[in-house]
Amino acid sequence: MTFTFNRRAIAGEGDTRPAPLTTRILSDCLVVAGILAFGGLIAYLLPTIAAPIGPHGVPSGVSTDVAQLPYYAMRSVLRMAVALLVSLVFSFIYGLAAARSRRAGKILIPLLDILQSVPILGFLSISVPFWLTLFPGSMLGVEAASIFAIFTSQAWNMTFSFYHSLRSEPKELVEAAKNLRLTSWQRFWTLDVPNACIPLLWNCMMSVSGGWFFLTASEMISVNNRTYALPGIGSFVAQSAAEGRFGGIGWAIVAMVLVVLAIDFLLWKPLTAWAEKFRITQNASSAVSTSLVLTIIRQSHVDEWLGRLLRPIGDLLDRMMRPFGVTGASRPADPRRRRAGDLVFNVIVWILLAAGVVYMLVTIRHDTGLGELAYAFALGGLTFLRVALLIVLCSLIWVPIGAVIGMTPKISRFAQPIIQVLASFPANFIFPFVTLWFVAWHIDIGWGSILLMALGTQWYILFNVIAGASQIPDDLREMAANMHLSRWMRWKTLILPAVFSSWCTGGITAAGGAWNASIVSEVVSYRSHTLTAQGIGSYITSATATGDMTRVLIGVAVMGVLVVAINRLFWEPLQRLANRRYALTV
Amino acid sequence: MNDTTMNLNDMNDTHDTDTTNTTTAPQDGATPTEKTRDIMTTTNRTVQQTAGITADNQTDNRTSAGIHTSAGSTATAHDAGNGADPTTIISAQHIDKHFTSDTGTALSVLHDLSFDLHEDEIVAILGRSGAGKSTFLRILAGLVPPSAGTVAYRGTPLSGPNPGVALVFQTFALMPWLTVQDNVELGLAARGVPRGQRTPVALAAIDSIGLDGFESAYPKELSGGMRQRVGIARALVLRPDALFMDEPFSALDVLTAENLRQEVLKLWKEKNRGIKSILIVTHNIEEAVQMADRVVVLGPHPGHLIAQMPVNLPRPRDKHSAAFGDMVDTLYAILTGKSNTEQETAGPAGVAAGTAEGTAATATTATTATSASTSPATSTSTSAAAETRFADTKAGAAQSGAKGSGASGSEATSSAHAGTAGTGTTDAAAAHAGCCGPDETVCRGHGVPCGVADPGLRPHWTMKPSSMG
Repeated sequence: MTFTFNRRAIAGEGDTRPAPLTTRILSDCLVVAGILAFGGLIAYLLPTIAAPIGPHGVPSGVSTDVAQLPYYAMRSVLRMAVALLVSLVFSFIYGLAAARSRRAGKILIPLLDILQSVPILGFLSISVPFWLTLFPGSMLGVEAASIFAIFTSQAWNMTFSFYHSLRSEPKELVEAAKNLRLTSWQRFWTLDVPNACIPLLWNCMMSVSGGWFFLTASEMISVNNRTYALPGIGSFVAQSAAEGRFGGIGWAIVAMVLVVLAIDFLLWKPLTAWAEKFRITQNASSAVSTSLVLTIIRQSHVDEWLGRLLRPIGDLLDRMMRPFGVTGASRPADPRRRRAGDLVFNVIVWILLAAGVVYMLVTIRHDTGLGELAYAFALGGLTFLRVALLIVLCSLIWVPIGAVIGMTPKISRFAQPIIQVLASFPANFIFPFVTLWFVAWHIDIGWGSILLMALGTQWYILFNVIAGASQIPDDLREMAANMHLSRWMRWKTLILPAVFSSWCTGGITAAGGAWNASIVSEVVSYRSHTLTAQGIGSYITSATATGDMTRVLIGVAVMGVLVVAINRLFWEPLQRLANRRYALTV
Repeated sequence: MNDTTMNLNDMNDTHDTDTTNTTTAPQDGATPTEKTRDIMTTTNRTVQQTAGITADNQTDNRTSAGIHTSAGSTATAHDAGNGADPTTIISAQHIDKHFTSDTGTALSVLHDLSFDLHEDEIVAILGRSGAGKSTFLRILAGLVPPSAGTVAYRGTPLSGPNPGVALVFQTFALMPWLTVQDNVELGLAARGVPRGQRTPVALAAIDSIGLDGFESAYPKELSGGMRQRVGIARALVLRPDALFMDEPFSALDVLTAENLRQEVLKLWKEKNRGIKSILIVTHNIEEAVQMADRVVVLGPHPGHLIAQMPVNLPRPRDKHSAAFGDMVDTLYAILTGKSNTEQETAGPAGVAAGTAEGTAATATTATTATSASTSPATSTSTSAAAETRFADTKAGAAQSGAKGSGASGSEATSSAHAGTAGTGTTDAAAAHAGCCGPDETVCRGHGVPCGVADPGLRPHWTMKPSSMG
């Protein structure tokens, strides 16, 4: 037997041998300084969040003083962070319920599909009154509404990701967990979360990008003929655009780029490097991602302190969660009784569903007449054409580029961070400039909105194709070279089939994102110019602004039906085909 | 590469000097050959399947395998008990398992399997790929519910994971994100053992399996053999009644696998070993003979019991001893003799063997390879819950079959190929008369090479297959 005695194995997680003491103490200082700075910021920001509402009610605008930008940026980041945490907890609970309970899954997963297709304004118009009454006389109500809005733009894809990870856990690890008789709590933290960690982390990043995109809508809440403005970088941009201050928007863009870079450096880079240990591979990974922040944290003693501090808490929780039971302890009941239970369950669900639909139709008929529904569907068709064109164009452009980037580690190393920042950057910050351009060149917003939607959602396709192309096995690429396949043959027989599955994933996300983005892309304004494209997005936006709840309901319902129908009829068959024919996993 | 050509067991055998585990051997004084002959019993509804290899010298090199099959129940020394037997750890009764495919058709994986696991024995479940070995192991471990039948642990029917079983996986199944020590401690943590108590236990187990110094390494930093050591340590710390091993060495290279086998046997030999029995699933015949006190052979499609065979060879077992070789050969014959698609692997082996020995392995009578499922005459031999006795082939218990005169087995099997029932002939050409024309090389419909030695029943000591499939 060959012993590959590995020094790293003894030293622990670090990539190198233990650092000298001076370096470790220096790292300690940096880590402590970082923790203090973080705590100080929180302490500075928190009191202002719960400020009482002034005599004039909730402000409908914010200051466009550039000096306020750093503070606004921090407020926005805090909002995003809270929403992200809530999304994470929501994903855990919802994903577990859907994956573990067969019957709950039957409802929760289609419901998630629908929730994902409901645009952020749909949630806002319904929930703002609720939040305002929950925290009367305090800005916390508006803050909560804003965080909820951001949450609704972040949570769904994370939940899907966690659910899929739960469903695709390695079989033998599940069996090991059952055989070791882990408690449900232990299984969650030793198998479920670590296994889901990497995809979940990527989805967190995507969610945050999505959250940025809707930041203006969530900080400058325009519902029921009222506008509630919260201090934040999104509302700053909206205000500047309304006042026509180009300088302010420019500064906001600079601030936003800095925020995106800082988050990448302080949060995503360390997390992705750390999450490498959750990668299930048989051998040590070839390309190790590194992060300066993580290295400093690892060099310091902080993990020892934290370990000493948190271990008793962890043990206590471990004991407290024992009553939740042992994993795999219950066997499915007698099949006949199970079928009977399913039948009862299905009947109840269908009755409730039918009752809901009937009630909705009655309401619509009473308020606007059913003709409005047909009109909304026609508008939905217009938006559908835009989305379809967008997916085709983005695919034609980004699939070849993404495949090349993914297959060339050199370009990939260099391009990946740039693309990440570009993707994280909220595209609607530059909408005012684009609007101006449309006005100046007399570009019809009906076409222009496609570009606006694409600015936000093209990245999903690019990201996924890069990931897919980088996973093409070396064997196959060497085979292609060895067979002297021509360039066209190589693309046709190897590269395009290999990235097909990833393209599907990217395409479904991008399409969903584009539908949602239509609410901010089909209506754009800069100072006195407001360009409105005909479409379901602008329909929902105007209905929300005027507080026409029935039309909001119609718009949201139509968009939901269209998105779910397209997913079911187009994307899901494609994904099944991808899994059946073009999966690279053996 | 063939294991047997390598002198592997010399590496560790020096430790294994005494013979242990005599509790399962019914006749301790006897030599293996005698033992096996003795326990060959006459059973009701016997189908004797025989084969003779006609070589230059028809009398000496003649080989035959006698397999007595009965639909009755158990008869080995430790197999007589029922569920009330205090030494019975796990008892499985009439296990059926079928899966429903996406298209709605039911796929039967196991059919009417009954099996008891007792204290102080190592049992090997032997079978080729697709015989449902691993599924059966998982049913016994309570990880997969059976479609019909019951599994009881210490008399209590299972309704979830078997509390007395620790499983060692073919692919190790270590949590990649936990260190070696955390992986080993995991099962103890699941049982609520406080941190202060489980750490020393885990460290001791890590030491005992030879991983001292690797406590804080991650699995991906270890070689396959070391990973499997972690897997074994993780199981051992739980001190389970039964250690289940699912093809534990088949993902390792030959040398590492042999080393680990010896380590497991060494642990088994220790008085204070903490485990009461080992159940090992394997497709490697030699591994089964080397490790087990009892070999359970499963046939495929669906998985069913085709034979149970005690292995009473003294430990440490010498792979080069004649008795060991006999055992391997017999198991090989059992494995191949009852399935349908054997000739492509074993047929050439028979020929190669013949030339290697300087004997012409030509025609045989018994064509059991194909007849089992096609001929009604032999269908009884595959009856459920069969208990098969091992007969030493050299001992000549079934030599009569070689001549083909009057043995019931030859009658049954040859008739399958003759196409006419009950001819009683054992001549090779006649046996395939129905399907082997003058220009045919392969018996149509049976897949048996015409005029070539039957694959399942090769001459003795010509070639030892180390593994199947």
